[in-house]
Amino acid sequence: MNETREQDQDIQEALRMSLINEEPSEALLRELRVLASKVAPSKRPWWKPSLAIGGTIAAACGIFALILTPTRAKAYDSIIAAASQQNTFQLAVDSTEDGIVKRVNIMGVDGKFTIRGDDGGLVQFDKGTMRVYDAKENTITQIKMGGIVDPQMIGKAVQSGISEGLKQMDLKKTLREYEEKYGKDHIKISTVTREDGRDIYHVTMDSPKESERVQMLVDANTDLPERIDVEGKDSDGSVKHDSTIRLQFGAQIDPKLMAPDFPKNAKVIDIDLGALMGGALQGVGESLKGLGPMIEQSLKGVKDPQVNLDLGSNKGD
Amino acid sequence: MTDEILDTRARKPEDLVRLFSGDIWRFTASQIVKREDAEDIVMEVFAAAFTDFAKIQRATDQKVWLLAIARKKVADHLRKRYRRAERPMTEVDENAGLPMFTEIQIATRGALDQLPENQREALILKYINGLSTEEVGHVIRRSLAATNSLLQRARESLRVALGPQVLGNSGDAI
Repeated sequence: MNETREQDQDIQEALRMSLINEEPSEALLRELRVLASKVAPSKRPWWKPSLAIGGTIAAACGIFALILTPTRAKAYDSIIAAASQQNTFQLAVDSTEDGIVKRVNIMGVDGKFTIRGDDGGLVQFDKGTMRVYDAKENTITQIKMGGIVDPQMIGKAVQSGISEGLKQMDLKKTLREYEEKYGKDHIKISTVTREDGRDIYHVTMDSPKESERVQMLVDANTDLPERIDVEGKDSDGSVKHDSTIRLQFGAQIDPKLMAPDFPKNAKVIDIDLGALMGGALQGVGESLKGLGPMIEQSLKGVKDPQVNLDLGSNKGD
Repeated sequence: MTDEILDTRARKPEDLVRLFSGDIWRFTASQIVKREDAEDIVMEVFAAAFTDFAKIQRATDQKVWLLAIARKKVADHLRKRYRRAERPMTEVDENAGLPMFTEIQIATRGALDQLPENQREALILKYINGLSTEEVGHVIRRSLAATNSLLQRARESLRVALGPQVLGNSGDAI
């Protein structure tokens, strides 16, 4: 055994000696750092609604789009019909990053919605104005959408008129993209089974080409999704929990949860997107899909959007 | 303890460069003789990682993930070179603008070039990058037992190719 180790040491020494330089040159390191600095801040996938406010809204819509994902299956029509009849909803999104679970709650009632992060962050959208409270900075960023986004459209997209809103989002295109993303063979809907005294079924979207696996638990009696689990797949084939979305429709929502409770001593920053963008983007609200990036883009130059618009993200990383 | 763990994981693209550029360089430069080519490959590896940074953030072992990319890039590069019927990389001379090698370096690189690709990769990952046998298996996508067996064969092949005089005098230079 010892002899083997000694011989291994000889091999190790010979191999290391074969290298001209053990470390990369300073020039190479410099180029790598430049390359790294050019990488755009990573955007969270659409199912992870906690990074930026624009992304959050788009993601909220995305979650509903996800609800509708199992196209072609029997459940598709029933799910869209069931979701369309709801005028209140609550989503709790638990996402895991580096082993830390972060929660974001999204609630909607009659066209208004509120998003709360467990770091104290709060976003409220009501009639064309979005207010974002950053607990760390103790600032409220008040964003008036002006003519850029039709607030009713957002309301429709995330609320009772969801089917109409989703038409505006080009639902067919969205669904086609999902189909393309996962492939027809990789969207599976289970048979109805009885668990914990109720009937449920599972929807699984899992493609070997995708780095995530999405699993959905649906109440078979209402056809409303109750839980969506997103897992990331590692290169070695292992699966790691990424986020869980718990959904509740039609439930009575505590008005206190919907009421704005921004601290009175918070600094208020007003941003009028309509004025900022002039008339150039009037009507862009037709496409809700572009809302997140658009708002982020709009705010560039005003201030770092990540500072004020982050909700439940790892600030200061 | 948590800080220590986090410190070995890249949370920003810049962290990847800080934490793993040395490993990727050593793996690449062990097989690519021309510095410019090796540097190009290292750049390509990191460019690929930056493009899919969300994925690498989730990877259990980011170093293994990057080395797996590097392995593919190096193999692609070597295949292209051999397809172009270039001279074997061991036949280097001053006129080629390549680095000056010591005798032991020429001998070792020549011996490595004679090994099958998977044996060469396994040896470099194990003895230059310092990976455990299990980690080597993850990079080359083999089971632990298969990796152990591969390493055993690779060591034997290298010993034969190098000969006892080289293994015994690995510090000698021209």
